Amino acid sequence: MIELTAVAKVLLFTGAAVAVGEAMLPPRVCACCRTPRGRSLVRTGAVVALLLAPLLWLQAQRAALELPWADVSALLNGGWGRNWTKLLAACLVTAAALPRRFGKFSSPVLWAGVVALAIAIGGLGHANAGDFVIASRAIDAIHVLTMGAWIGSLVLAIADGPSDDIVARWRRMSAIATIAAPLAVVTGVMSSLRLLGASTPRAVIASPYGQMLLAKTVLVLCILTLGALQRRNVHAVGVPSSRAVRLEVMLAAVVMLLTAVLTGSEPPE
Amino acid sequence: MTRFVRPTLLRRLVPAVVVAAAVAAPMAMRADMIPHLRLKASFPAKDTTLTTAPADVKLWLSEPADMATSKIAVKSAAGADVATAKITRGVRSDDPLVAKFTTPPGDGKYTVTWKAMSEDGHVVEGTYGFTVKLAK
Repeated sequence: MIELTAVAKVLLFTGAAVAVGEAMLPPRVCACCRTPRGRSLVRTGAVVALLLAPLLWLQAQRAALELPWADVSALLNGGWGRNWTKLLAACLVTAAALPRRFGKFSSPVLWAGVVALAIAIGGLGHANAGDFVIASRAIDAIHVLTMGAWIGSLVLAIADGPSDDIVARWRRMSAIATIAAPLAVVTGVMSSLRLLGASTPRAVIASPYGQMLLAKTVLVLCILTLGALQRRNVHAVGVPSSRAVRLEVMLAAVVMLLTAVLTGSEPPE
Repeated sequence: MTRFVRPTLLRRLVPAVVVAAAVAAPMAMRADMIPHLRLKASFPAKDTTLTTAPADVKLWLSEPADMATSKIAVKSAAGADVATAKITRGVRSDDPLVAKFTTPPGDGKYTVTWKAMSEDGHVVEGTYGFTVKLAK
């Protein structure tokens, strides 16, 4: 059974990815065009996810500690609680900025929100324990931002649907992914090395954590292969295969689920 | 036509990868870098028999736990709660968590159940037993 914490993290990662994608791949703004319906729906889903995720995470942590609601202030006043409060604030700022209702301030507020969100996520995970906390949290934040830029802009490019600037939009998405995907992989490998570098390969593979990480690696390699093939399509004919990009997004969803479970489990000793 | 991705782009990423590897290497080589919250030792120790009533339960954990949410509960063999005061800890982060008995326990078997949260939010719990057989 999937735990409530994993559900909260999937919502958080999805909301963060869409928000970073929105910041990287803004909608076309002109007097004659409206925001595509698909993008509006994805934004709304991300706002709901960002509002629900911290509350579900708090509920899961409270339940794990068997704390009554009356004593939840004890949880919020501790180290975990302070980091959770920062996450909640970042989620609120990002959710408020996502619909782009602040005019010319929408983009700066959204950027501030997604950067704060990326930093806050690291405060509630493995990056916040042990040595090299600052470096690990910086790596985690870059991982969240680059993953969001890659997958979020892909989701929004699909959601935008056909338009007269479709070729330009896919080329921009491809350019974002060309930088973001390798950086996401590099930062992911760095975080994994920090967690697993001291374990033997046999211990890693024998542990549930190692097996899930292996599955995640295989899926990420599949997404990278699909992405590289579609990058060629984008530069040759202007748009990628819609079936291939949908498959990429589905695989990315499975990767996010695995990541949510991984971040809640302990790496092998 | 404008090309959004220049052929040199991937080559520009090479220095980033080299820097990343340089940062990651020392991090990967530290064996004790990611602590795991574990019970290192306890008083009374697991499965021991005491001939004098213990004044408290002490738990030595492998890393600092969040004090406000840590719990230590003691039950008798009949399942009744044995009253303890609020958990305390010394000034050092590696000092044990201490739950003092309000009334020292008499003869019988007892179960200690504990729960603690580590810095990264992992909640760890455990249970062990001990026996008190007071010398007559």
